[in-house]
Amino acid sequence: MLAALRPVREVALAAARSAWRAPVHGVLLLLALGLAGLLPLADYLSFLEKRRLVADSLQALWLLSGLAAVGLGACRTVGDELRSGVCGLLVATRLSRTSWLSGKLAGLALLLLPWWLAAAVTQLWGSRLAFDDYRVDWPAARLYWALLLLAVLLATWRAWRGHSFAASLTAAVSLLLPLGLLALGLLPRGAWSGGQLLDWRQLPAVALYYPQWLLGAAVALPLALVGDAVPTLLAGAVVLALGLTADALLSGPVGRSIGWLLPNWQPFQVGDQWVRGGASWGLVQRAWLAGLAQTAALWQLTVAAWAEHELG
Amino acid sequence: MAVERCLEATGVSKQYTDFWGRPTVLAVEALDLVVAPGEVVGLLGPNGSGKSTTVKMLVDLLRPSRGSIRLFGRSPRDPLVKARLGYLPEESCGYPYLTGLETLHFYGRLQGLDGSRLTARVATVLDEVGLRAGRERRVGQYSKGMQRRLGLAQALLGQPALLLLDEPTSGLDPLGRRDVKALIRRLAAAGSAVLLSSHLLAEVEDVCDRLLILHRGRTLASGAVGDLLRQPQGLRATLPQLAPERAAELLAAIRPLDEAATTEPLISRLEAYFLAVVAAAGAEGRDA
Ligand SMILES: Nc1ncnc2c1ncn2[C@@H]1O[C@H](COP(=O)(O)OP(=O)(O)OP(=O)(O)O)[C@@H](O)[C@H]1O
Ligand SMILES: [Mg+2]
Repeated sequence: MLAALRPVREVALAAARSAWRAPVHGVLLLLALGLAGLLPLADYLSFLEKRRLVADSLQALWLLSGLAAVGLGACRTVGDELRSGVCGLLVATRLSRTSWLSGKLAGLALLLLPWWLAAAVTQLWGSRLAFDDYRVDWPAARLYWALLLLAVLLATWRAWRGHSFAASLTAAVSLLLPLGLLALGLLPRGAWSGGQLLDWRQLPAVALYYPQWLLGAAVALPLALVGDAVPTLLAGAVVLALGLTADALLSGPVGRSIGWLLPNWQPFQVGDQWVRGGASWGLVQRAWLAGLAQTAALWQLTVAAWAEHELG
Repeated sequence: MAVERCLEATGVSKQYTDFWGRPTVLAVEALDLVVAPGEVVGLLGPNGSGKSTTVKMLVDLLRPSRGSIRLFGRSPRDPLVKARLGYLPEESCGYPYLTGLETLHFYGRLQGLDGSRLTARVATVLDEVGLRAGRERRVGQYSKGMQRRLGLAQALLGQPALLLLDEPTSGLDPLGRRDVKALIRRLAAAGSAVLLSSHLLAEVEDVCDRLLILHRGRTLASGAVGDLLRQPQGLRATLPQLAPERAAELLAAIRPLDEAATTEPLISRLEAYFLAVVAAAGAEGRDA
């Protein structure tokens, strides 16, 4: 059993490592982190309910950038590898096709871990920045930007030494930002209010990014097997839009029975619930299970459809 | 145990089809091929003659439309067969963002090697293909020749009993070619079977025991290289010490034996000349 999983692990590690090192990954992560730092400062969000607006826009930001990361990752590790002949080489002499596909899905899941961490940290950080409806908590904002700058400097220095900028940036922010979050408790306004000014009720929503991204990976995987990057991302966006509107489109008894077959994003949208005290963890658990089941089903279909496909 | 055949293909054809299943190109037609242990067989043919298609069918990436393929007496789909194969595809073999060393470790681990055995094996193949100096660089930054060497290195990692090499020397410099040819001969001497494809005539002539000439998917000729090239009716004499001015004398002496006899100055092949010049310059460019 464990021996059979070994090739999957190797493929997953190589895929994640390749994806982390791709320059586009670094650019995307930096962009997302930059936006996550700016959004809470934006004027138009400084009304009543600022916390809620900030939380909502951060949710949209992370959902989309995680999906973009996973789409690009799929194009790179699956599409490019298929067309370069490396995939052919692997399945000809070393692996089963199922192991290769499982490894790629697991690799995308690994790729997403730092994104998940970054999303959790910035979401909490944003709640601190927005804790007062009319003022910005500048010390907290300055700390965030200082740490981001430090991470970029560290990554640049590593790139100067010949390492990958994108991978170094990922490592640096994964380390610095969580530490910064802890340090936030010491900042003036916090004055050992500890985590009090952080809105922990956002964590259930953050917990649900991951299954959504995974589902995105399961959609992007078969698309990357047949198409190039741009069609993959476009088709992925269409599926996402369908998924988001699934409940509205597929009402009525017939619609509902079809709806079960489609990837449905609705169960994950618990953003509103946190106002009423946060989504319950039971809901999160059910949505996770639904997401995993849909991911597994899509993956099974992909494996079956690809088993006899020629790799010429 | 009877002497097993590493590879046996009978009546293999490949018809490519379009999206709707309509036939497009008949890439390989009724190919018969046998490779025994210790033998080097060449597939020789111009661009588009079906060499790569043949090799891909042998490694189960493409399904033959007709005919049967057996590797070590089994189906090419058998995992036991895959474990004994070394395959060098026509295209690239690495991940652009991994270093050469990381790539080989990755391939090695997938073949069940690990720990000191893996490290030792990787070091050996790196030396064999002359890639030691470039091992810490990213594959995306490799020159074409270095990529080829990396491909060869991964094919050799598992000490395969049967090597399928699609244009092993394309992109290599003459020194690299000489090394690869020597390497293939060494592997064959150690008992491995090798099937290589090429459109370089000199290469096939130098390294192969037997060859097949393919043209538009059809086998035009096949047999032992020596047999195919020997001209039993003729003879070539080489006189490296004879001054060119004395050619007329020589010709007069041999004309009675053969009306069509000719003489010409001795010219070395450019390859031999190039290798001699580079060797003299002390640039033993074994390592890329
Ligand atoms: N996937 C494919 N679909 C349709 N036709 C193909 C496909 N791959 C190859 N062919 C055709 O099959 C024929 C043989 O191609 P193949 O790649 O086997 O040639 P080759 O001998 O390896 O050529 P080269 O020396 O250029 O590598 C060519 O006419 C080619 O156009
Ligand atoms: Mg070819």
